[in-house]
Amino acid sequence: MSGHYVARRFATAAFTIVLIVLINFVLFRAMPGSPERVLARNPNVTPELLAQTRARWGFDKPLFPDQFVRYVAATAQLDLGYTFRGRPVADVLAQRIWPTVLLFGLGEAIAIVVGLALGAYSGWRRGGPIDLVGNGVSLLLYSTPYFLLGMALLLIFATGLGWFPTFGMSTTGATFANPVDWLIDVLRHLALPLTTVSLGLIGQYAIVMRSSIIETLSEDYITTARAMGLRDGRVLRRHALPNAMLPTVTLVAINLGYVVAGAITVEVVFNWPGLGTLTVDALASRDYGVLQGVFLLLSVAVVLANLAADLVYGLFDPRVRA
Amino acid sequence: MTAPAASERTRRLPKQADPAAPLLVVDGLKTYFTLESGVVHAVDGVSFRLDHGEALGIAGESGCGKTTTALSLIRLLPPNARIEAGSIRLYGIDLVPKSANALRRYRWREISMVFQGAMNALNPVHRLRDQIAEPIVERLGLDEREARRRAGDLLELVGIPRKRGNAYPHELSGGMRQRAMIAMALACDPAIMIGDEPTTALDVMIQAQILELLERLRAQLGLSLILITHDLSVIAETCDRVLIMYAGRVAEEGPVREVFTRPRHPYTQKLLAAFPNIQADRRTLDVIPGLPPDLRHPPPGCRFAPRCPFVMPVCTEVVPPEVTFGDAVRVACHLYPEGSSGVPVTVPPEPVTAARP
Amino acid sequence: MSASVTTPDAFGDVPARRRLASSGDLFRRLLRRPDGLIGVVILVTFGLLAVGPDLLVGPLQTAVTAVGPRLSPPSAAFPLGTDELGRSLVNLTAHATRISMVIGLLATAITVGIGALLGIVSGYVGGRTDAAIMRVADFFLVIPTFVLAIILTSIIRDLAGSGAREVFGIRFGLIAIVVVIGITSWSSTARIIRSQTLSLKERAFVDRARAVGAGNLHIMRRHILPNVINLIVANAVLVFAGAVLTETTLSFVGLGDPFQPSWGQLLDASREVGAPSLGAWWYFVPPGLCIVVVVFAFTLVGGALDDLLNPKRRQRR
Repeated sequence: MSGHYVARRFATAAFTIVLIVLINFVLFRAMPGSPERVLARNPNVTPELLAQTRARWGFDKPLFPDQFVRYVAATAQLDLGYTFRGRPVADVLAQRIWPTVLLFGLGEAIAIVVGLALGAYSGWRRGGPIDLVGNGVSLLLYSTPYFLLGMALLLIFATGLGWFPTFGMSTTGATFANPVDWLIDVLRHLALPLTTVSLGLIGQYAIVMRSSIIETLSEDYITTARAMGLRDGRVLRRHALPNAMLPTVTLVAINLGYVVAGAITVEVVFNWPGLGTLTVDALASRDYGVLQGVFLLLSVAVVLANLAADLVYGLFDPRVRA
Repeated sequence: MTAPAASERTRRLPKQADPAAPLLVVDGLKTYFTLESGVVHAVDGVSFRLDHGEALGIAGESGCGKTTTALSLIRLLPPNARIEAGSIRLYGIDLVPKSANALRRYRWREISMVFQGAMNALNPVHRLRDQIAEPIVERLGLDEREARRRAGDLLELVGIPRKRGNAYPHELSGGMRQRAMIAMALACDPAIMIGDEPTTALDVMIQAQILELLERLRAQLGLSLILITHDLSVIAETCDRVLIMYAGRVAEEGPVREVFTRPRHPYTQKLLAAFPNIQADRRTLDVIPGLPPDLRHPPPGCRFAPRCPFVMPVCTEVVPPEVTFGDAVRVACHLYPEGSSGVPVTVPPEPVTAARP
Repeated sequence: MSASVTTPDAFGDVPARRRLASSGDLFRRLLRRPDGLIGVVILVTFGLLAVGPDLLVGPLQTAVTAVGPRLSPPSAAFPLGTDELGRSLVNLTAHATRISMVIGLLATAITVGIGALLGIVSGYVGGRTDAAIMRVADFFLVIPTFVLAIILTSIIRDLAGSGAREVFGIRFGLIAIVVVIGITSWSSTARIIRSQTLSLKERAFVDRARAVGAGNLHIMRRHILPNVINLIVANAVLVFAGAVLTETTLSFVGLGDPFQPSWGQLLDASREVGAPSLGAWWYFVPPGLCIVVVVFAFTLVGGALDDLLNPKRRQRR
C-alpha cells in the first residue's frame, strides 16, 4: 500500500470527522435559540446551573472563535456535556455502547459470513434453485424494515411459541447461581434481536455479493482460468472470489451508515438497553445533549470503520497498493 | 528453459492417442448459439487439419465464426452455445463426445490459448509468477517450488526478466502482459497454442516483437499454432497455411503463398484487394460493400452470394461444395466446380453483371 | 445501451421529439419484463388507493368517530380488526397509504431535485466546484444520516413549531420529515447524474452548442438535462423506495404525527400498546405488509429501469 493512498484515506476520514463536529456545533450552538432550547427544556436546570453552563461554554462571548474553540476543545476531551438527569453524556454513552456492540458486532459477523456466501453461491449458480429462492428472499428482506422483521419474530417466537423472552437483555430481578446460567439468560434474550439484525443484513450483503460475482465472472481472466482446465471450485475460490470481494468490502462499509437506522429500531422493539433505546428515549424528552453525543459517537465509529475498510481494500488490491 | 524435444512430448500423450493419427483434424464442426430471437448458426460445417509444428491462420470479418471455431476446440463456449455436429480429433481422439470433466483434462495440457486483451486476461490480484505456476501445480502436479522455478524459466523464455515475476499485471506494459500471457500458455508444454487476435490491441512495433516471439517459440519448441486474426498481414508473416472463413463456413483454405498470390474465392479476392500492400498497409476489412448475412436465417445457397460480384443463379440456391485443387488449395465456390482447372476467375462474367439490378 | 434510449444520432445530437418517443419506448420495454410489469401493477394499485382513500373507506376515523371494540381481532364488521381506540385497521391502513405515499413522493422530489441539480453542476462545471460538491456528497454517503435526520427533524419542529399549517394536505410536522429526508439523501443521485454529465460533456453536441455561443446555463438546461432525464427517473424510483423506508423508520422512533398516521406511525402505535407481546398481529401486519410490498415493487421497477438504461453497468469505483 502506498503512503500516498494511506495518507489520502486518513485525510478523508479526518475531514469527515471535522465536518461532523462542525455540524454538531452549528446545530446545537449556532442556530437561533440553541442554548436556550437545549437548557430551558430541562426541568432539572436551576438558574444557578444555567448561569454556570453559560459561563462554561462562553455563551456571552462571540460564536466564533471563542465558543467554537471551547466546543472543539471540550469535544476533543470527550466532554460532551450533561444529560437532563445531570449525568455526563460521555458516561451514559460508555455504558450503553456495549449492548449495541454485542448485538451489532455479532449480527454483522454472521451476516457477512452468511450473506457473502449466499450471494457468491447465487451468482456462481446464477438461475439455479438457490439463486432464484435466495435472490427473492434477499430482495424481500431488503424491502423489510428491520423493526418490522423484529416485531414479526417477537410475535411468533416469543409471544406465540414462548421460546424466547420478549424484552431486555437479561431477566429483571433474577439472581443467578452461577455465571453459566446468567450467560444462558443473556443468550436467550439475545437470540431474537440478533436473528433480526442478521437477517436484515444478510439480504443486503447477498444482493451486493451476487452482483459483484456475476460481474466478475464475465471478466476475461475467468475465461483464462477455465481455459487452463482448472476445476470449477478453484476458478471460483482463487480467481472470482478475491476480485468480487474487493468492491463488496467498500459497499459493506458504506452501508454501515444506513445500518445504524436499523440498529436503533431493533433495539427499540426488543427493549435492548443499547444506544438505540437511548436515542429514542432522548428523542422523546428532547434531550439534545444525548442526541448530539449519539450522533458524534456513531458517526465517528462509522467513519473509522470505513477507514478500516479502505485500508483492507488497499491491502488486498495490488492496483491500489502500488 | 531448454526446449523439450518432440519425443519428450510424445511420451506424455493421452492414453487413447493414436500415434499414427494427425495432430488435429476438425471435420464438419457445427456450433450454434441459442438466442431468444432464434438459433445463430455461428459455425456451420467447418473442417480443417493441423499438423505437428504447423502454423495455421484463420481469417475473416468479425462475426464470421473464427473465434467460435477456436473456442469450440476446448469447448470454452458460453452457456447458450452448443456443438451440434462434427468431430474434433486430437491424436485421433474425438473431443466432441467427451464429458465436461474429461475435456477439462485436455485444456492447457494439449491446447492452450492466448487471448486478445492480455490486460484483462490476467488476474489483477495475483502475481505473474503465481499465475504462470498455477496450471503447472494444478495440471501437472508439480510442487509449488518447482512450479515457480519453471514459471521463472518461462518468463525468461518469452523475454521477461525472472525478477519481474513478482509484478502484478497492472505494473506491466501491454506488450509485456502479452508476453506473460504467452508464457502462461506455454506452462503445461501444450501441443497446440491458439492465439485469438494476440496482437490486435498492441501498437505496430510491439506487434512485430510478439510475432517474432511466436515464430521463435514455434521453431524452438516445435509448437503448433492456430492464429486467429482479421489482420491478413499477421498471417502472411507467421503462418504456413491460411483458412478464410465467411459467415460460419470455410471459403478458401490452403498454403499462404498460394492463397495470397492466386486467390480463387471472390471473397478472398476482395479481402486481399483491401490490402494492397500486405507489408505496409493495415486497413480493416470492412471495405467490401454490404453486410454479412444474418446467421439466424442464413441464405440457402452460397452465403457470400448477396455480396458477390460474380453471383450466378446457382449461387443463391445450391451450397457450393468444397473442392481441393492440385496446389492443396480448397475452395467452396461455384466458379470452381469439381474437375475444373482451378484457374482464378478475376473478371466478372458479363451477362451476370448486366443482370444485376 | 439500446440505440433508441440515449445514444445520439450520427451527428451527436438528440432531437427532442425522438427523446420523448424513447421515454415511451423505455416504459413499454419496462412493461415487457416480468419484474417491471409486476412492480408497475403493484405501484398503480397503491397509487390509486393513495389518491382516494375517502372514496373507499370513508374519512379517517378518530378517537371520537371510532365505533369498534378496542383492539379486537379481525371479524366480519372489521375485516382487519381494530386498534386500541376501536378504529378499523382497514380505514387506518388505507389513509396511512395516502400519507406514506405523499410523503415519499415529496421527499423523492426534493432528493432527486437536489441530487440532479448538484450532479449536473458538479459534472459540468468541474474543477473545485466539483471537488467540493463531491466531498460533501461523500460525507452524506458515509455518515449515519438517520441520526442526523432525527436531530434535524426535532430541531426544525422546535424552531418552526408543528402547527396546524398544511402543505399539499400534509401537516407541517410531517413536512419537516420530507425536507430532512431530502437534505440527507441526495448524494447517490448526485453521483450517478454527475458521471453521466461528465460523459455527455465530451459529446459533440455540447461542443457545438458552446461554439455557437450558448451560455453554460443554457447548455445545462437544454442539452444536459434532457439527456439525463431517463436516468433521473430510474433513480427516482429507487429513491422513492428509500424515502418510504426512511419515513417509516422516523415515524417508528416517534417522529410521526398521530393525527395523520403513516404506515410507520401505525407501527409505532402498535408497538407502544405492545401489539407483538399481546399477540395483536392484525395491528401491525397490514401496514407492515404494505411497506414491504411497496418497497419491493419500487425496487423491482428501479432495478429493471436500471438494467434497461445500463445493461453493462459497472459498479466498480
